[in-house]
Amino acid sequence: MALTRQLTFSQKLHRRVGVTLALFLCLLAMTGIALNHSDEIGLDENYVPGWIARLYLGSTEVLGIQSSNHFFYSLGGNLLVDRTTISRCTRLQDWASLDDQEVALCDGELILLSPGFELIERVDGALGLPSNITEIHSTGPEFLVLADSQWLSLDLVSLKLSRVAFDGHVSETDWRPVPMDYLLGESVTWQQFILDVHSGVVIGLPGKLFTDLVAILLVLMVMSGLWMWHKTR
Amino acid sequence: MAQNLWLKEPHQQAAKKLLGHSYRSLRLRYWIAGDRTAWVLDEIGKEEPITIGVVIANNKIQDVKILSYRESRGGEVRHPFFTSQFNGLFLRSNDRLSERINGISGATLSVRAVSNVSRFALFLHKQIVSP
Repeated sequence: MALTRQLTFSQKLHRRVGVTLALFLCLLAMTGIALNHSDEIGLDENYVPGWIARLYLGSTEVLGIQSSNHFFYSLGGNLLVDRTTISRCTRLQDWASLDDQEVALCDGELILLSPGFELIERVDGALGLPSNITEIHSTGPEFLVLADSQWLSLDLVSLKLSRVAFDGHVSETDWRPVPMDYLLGESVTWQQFILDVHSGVVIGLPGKLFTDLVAILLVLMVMSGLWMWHKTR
Repeated sequence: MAQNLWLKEPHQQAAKKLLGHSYRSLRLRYWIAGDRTAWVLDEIGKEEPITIGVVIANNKIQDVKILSYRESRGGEVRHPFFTSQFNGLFLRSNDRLSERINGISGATLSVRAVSNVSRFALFLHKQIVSP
């Protein structure tokens, strides 16, 4: 009698928890399949619509450098000019405009761009650039980098470095908030969004904890199912 | 002194064939001494670019070195047991390396990136030394 009561209670609990979990299991399965074929369906190359990106950005203020009617900024590990992703860049440190090219200082590396913002090349330590560059500056004919508190002249064609006695005034980089319209363009890939839905991170810590709870309940479902199967044999 | 190579249409066509996509920048750096060239090329492993140095002499790879590895997994490609496999290899007429490269489990994409870059460097070497 006690066993029958226990079984009835377990079956009810098993059924109710199962029905509750079904929706989330479907979601987990579908997002899991999508992530598994991320490369084939180009999830990492396509961006979510602005209204989803807005969920991510919220009221976050992204600072960028405005020059010649363009905004230069880093977001989501990329360097962007206005709404277009140019190259990878975790942290944009400085920007300089030369006559025939634009130069960004990102993560200690120089990113050289054509006047039309095509990537010419990345110049980093592998090409002999000092690893501790903190500022860049253009004086017109010369391109200067500040490394270890010492201004060096860098020839961007030969990559030859030479010490210069530059004591001119370098104005502080003018960081301004990037307009939200720009940020919503290519900021969040479908891969990131689906991964965040899959793990629950999309709604922050509560989502993460909820996903943990779903996982624990799934384990309990397996155990209670096995227990009921064993008792009714 | 480093030389510059501006990538033109034929180079990008070759990149599409050898790397599977156009090269991501307009200009490349290389060094040349006689018939020996050294190239510094970037290629995406899984998500991050791997900076790879390739030295070529007489149309054969002399040395491959991973100059910067940014991926969180698959870093085994940095080790000589892997990179030394490329020494002496050349590009066959079918655009494949002259010998098969043994893969590393868990580093498939990085292995593919290094192999593809080696093939592209061999192509570029030929363009520079004996166009």
